[in-house]
Amino acid sequence: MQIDEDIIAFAVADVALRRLVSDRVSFELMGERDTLPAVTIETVTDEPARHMGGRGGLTRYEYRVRCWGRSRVEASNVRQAWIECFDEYRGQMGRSVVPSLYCENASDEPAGPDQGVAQQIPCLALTMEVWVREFAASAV
Amino acid sequence: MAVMGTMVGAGLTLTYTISTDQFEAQIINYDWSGGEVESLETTHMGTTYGARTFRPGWIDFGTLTVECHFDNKAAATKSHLLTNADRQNTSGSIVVTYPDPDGAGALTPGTFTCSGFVTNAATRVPLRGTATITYTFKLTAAPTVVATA
Repeated sequence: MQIDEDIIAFAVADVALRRLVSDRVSFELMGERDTLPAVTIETVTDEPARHMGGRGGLTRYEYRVRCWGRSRVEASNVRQAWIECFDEYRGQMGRSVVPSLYCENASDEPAGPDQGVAQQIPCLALTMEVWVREFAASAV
Repeated sequence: MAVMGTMVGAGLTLTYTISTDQFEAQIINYDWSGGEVESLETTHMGTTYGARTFRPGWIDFGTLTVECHFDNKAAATKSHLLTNADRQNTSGSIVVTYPDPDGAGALTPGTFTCSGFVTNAATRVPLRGTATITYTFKLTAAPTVVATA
């Protein structure tokens, strides 16, 4: 999806976030040998705003963002930088138009086998809700 | 014996034509209150004691309530049907086209046609989720109903 690419590009273009994670922001699973710190993103759901005639032009995406570090402090710094970069952002993001974006539900997230990493890597997570305009609405 | 079937809302459309303008909405909920027949009491001193008696009176065809997506940027004049002077004190034409229950596009779509006017237009803009506008139409005559075929 276009918004996935735009989120990554937006993140690595942010000076503070890039200083921490360089370009290690992806939708791929975290590997044991991957360089830290890093950010992995998982799409939780997408919900187009539908009406009886089709799609309404807005879609709500929910992402789980996992911030990995060599220590909990480092992971926490990455998460804080992510929040400062993204939370309450509104406007153009790459090729996507984003009317609303919230970062919340921050939590410690011990990595499990489903994350493809060893249990020892500190990981802090948050949920990011992103509304994306797909096309301009016609008459209401 | 007639058997009632089922259908989903996807595909339903409503157009409201008034003056020179036509209103087409992105509908997310559609409710017709239904018609109601007035009951007139006919009990009199000669009525056998026990049960009051009634006869049917006038029919009130009720209201249509339509909840739609709301985008104030897109066609703001159409978003506020109550604000235009040329629409006041005037009824318009409402045509509801029901979806084909099989989703394929019926040869003869089912329709519900009537005249009415807007009595209320209420907007709701939540912090989370999409903004909506809910129109309430008062029906001013008996609707014409055509079954899907």
